[in-house]
Amino acid sequence: MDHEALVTVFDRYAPALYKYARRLTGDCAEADDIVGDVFTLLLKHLKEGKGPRDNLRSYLYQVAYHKVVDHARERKHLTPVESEMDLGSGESLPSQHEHQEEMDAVEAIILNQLTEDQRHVIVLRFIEDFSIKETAEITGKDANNVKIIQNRAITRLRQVLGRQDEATL
Amino acid sequence: MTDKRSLPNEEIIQRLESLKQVGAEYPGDLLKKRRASFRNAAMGLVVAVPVIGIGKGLLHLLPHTTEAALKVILVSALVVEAGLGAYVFRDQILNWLAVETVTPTYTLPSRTPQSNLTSSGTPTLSPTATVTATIFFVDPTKKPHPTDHGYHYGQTRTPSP
Repeated sequence: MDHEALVTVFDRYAPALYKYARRLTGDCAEADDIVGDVFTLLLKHLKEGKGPRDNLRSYLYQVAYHKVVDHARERKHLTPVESEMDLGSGESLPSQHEHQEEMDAVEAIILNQLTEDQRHVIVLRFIEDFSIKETAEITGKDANNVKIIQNRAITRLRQVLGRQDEATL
Repeated sequence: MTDKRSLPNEEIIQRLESLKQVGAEYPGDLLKKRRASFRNAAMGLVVAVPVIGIGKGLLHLLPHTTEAALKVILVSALVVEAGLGAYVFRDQILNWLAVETVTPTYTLPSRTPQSNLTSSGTPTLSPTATVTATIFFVDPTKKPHPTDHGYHYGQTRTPSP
């Protein structure tokens, strides 16, 4: 295959993957690293004959998802996993404050008020437009589990945004 | 289970979907660097990986127009590769394709004279030569007769009493 075809794949998906990673990490350098990692891994997998089989976009987001999770664990600046999280806490971490101003209120809530799993599911389902099944494949979770996480996340957003809207009135 | 302060799900989803338009763009300089780096790595891969492997994997994953363009590129690459291969290995290919013509070899039987023994014990060779020969039938297992005094070469005839 002409390497230009691979560059075409990069041109098509890199900006979207950057947005996805940037949205979840809140850091442009980290998002850029993640994009680099995703495409490096794509080449590695193609070389080993383990590349994407049926859904390239889903495959790229799956790799990006794992990279975002890895980066988050390395930096240890994300909120704990759902089971351990205190949903009543509205405090955000210092590193997230830096980017909060430039984000929409909803985006800030996604980053600060949702658990890691909820955040990923919400972003993949409603911002990146993946189906339940695709989201389940990307995150490596059961489809029913994805539905449950999504419902909890929406409930949480409804509460927080409702309170916020009431306060602004 | 919505309280007074909560919003309907549809509104939440609408707000979430509105975020598709929002989001930090990839900084131009970072994108350029990353693209160049990927391009170099991809060139290395193209050398290492067989053409069809990647092509099969990616072709049907791309949008229609890109897919069409890639098909043209792939087919062209395959044709060129096939032509080059055919040229480089032309001798071997010729050998493979060569039809082995098996020429039957006939070994003419050497005409060995057939001896027809006549009743008198004189063999007659046909058709051209007639050879008279005395044929001794020697049975190697047969012991010599005790009265055989020996008329063979190197033996002294035993004087008769």
